[in-house]
Amino acid sequence: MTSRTGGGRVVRIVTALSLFLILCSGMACRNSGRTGKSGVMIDPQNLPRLDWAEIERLARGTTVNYGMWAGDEARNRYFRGPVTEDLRQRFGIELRIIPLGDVAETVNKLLNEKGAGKTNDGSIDMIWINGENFGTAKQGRVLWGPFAETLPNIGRYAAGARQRDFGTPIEGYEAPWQRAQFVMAWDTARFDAPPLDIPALIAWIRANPGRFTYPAPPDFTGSVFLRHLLYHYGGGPENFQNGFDESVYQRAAVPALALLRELRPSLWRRGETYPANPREVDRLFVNREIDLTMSYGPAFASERIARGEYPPTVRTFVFSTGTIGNFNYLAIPFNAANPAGSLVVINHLLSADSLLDQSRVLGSIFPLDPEKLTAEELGRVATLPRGPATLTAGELASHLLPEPDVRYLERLEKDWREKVLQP
Amino acid sequence: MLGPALGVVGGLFVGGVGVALAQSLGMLSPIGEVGPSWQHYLAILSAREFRVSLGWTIWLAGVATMIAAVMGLALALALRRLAKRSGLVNLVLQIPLAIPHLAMAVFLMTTLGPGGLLARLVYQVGLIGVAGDFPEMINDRWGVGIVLAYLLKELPFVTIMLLALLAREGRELEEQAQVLGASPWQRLRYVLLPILAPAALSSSLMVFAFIVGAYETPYLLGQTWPALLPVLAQQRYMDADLAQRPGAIAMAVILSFLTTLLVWLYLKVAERWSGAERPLLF
Repeated sequence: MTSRTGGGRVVRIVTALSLFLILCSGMACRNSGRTGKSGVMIDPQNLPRLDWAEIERLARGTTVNYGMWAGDEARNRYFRGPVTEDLRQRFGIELRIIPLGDVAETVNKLLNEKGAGKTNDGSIDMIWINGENFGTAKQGRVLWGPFAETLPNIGRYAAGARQRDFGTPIEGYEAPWQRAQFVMAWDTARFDAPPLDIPALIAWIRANPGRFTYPAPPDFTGSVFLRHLLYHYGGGPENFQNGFDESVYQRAAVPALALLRELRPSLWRRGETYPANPREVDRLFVNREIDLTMSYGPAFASERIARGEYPPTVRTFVFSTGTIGNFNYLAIPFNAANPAGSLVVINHLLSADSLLDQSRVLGSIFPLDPEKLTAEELGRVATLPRGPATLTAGELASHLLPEPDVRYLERLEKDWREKVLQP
Repeated sequence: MLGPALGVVGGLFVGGVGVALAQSLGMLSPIGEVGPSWQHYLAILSAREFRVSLGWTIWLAGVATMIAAVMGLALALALRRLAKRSGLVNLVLQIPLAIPHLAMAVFLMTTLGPGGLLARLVYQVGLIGVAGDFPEMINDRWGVGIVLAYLLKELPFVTIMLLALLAREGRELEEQAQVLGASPWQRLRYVLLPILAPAALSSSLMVFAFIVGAYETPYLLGQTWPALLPVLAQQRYMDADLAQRPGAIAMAVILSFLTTLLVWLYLKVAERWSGAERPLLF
């Protein structure tokens, strides 16, 4: 008897919940219909003919949902606070941060939404993206555009950053924003001089068994570490820029993968397992299980020192032959509910003033082309503060290598799993 | 009255499986591939990585399930009198149930990892020389961390299921058997085990099916090679190359199919072995 009444209650609750959900979705539709009517939707084809002031007028009073990788607390605070406030005052735009674990998940979500026919009223208006994820998004046609070349502030980025992203033609589907460059870090309290080029690093790993590892590709930090070996054996980055060439790949990848395989017994846990991401590498470094760590963010060690996670004696370094760097970008999903608002926010984040502030607060590299800056702006760039472990902008710039075509990267990750990871 | 509930479950489950099947055959592709074709299944089944991963998944899930079932049975029998007297037993057993698998995995990482609490403790006491000497239990070759995490979660689950059954049906029958002169062994063999067998089977089935499909514990505690199948499938699904997606979904479909098959086989064998009525689940 009791079980029957219990079952009845469950059915009633489920029915009520279903009704509630149906009603809610109906309301959401009506609500979003209103947003659409306020005229925020723009056909990208009309962009070149629209006056920028007109776009700013359309965007006033709207909300922009920004899908941002949320793994960095300082960054989250900065965007939730000063940036949001700035946008509110200047443009009357409300910025809402949608925290993301991984942009790849968002691209997957967009692909699924596209498959399910959700072509408008998407939950995200702009995303932070680059490289393989941009290639995937463009291949799956889930980006709104072309828009980037119509942004008033894009002209001060170097032409290269506006043309190709890991070899994928950009064609206006994303706007260059910030820059990243691979650096490694060591603790000067543990030893004096780090290995400053690839042969020295290899010798160091052999001489210090168990004290080095890298995140397992396809993690992007592990993947870029592999690409340095590809360049080392392939005669430098120049050979990897013009599309995919099997013979170029084989010449570099065969010795690179053979070396990584041969080095396995000298790695942390004898190369039987690898950390899944750079955070785990960091944990091992802090726990003194390994002695070198790596990152795509040149200021990462300074930030961790400031937070008390690293001892103040940690320093970063780049290889004498250079390290790989790239741009990251802002893009608009194909089903964004508020592309006009996104355009205004993106253009603002690309302005010299905003970028100087971002570099000051976050320690990021100032990304604009120095040749396109005024003397006054160059002066402000020169006085940007720099953390104790961060290399100077000049040191980084003079050691900057470009990314290879994305197909080299994908192939290398795949072959690593087959030829290095598997016993 | 059941309509809406069945609608939700049916729509989401049957619809989901249908879409997965279609995508694994290369249909509904975001990059314009037109199926149906078996090529993704053939490619996966011929890859060594998948076969090793599949075997490893079933082995680890089987080991964890077996230990949980046997220890759960023993624990329930040992605790049955105590549990009747004091609610504390059930309370203690319920604590791990409230902890998410993710939290359990992180807990094990920070206690049993090479830089974890226990390692630091034995290092301080001087039992080991360097931090690296601590036995590898997390991200280790034998999956010790994974099995341990699942045991901490599933052993209490199995035990609680069995204790509830013993409390409801066990005592009277056991006392009657005692009055009729049954020895402790006879009571266990002919009274308690037959009562417990169906519940032990159904709860270990749930545990097995759950472990085979779960992602977060092996992601955090497992080794890069061989990865458990859910980790491998997720990795392939997230691959930037969209051509990898049908293969990832094919892995998930194969996994579901094999789980269903194994469960069916297990039921057949168990039915014959125990002579018991069918477990609650099916």
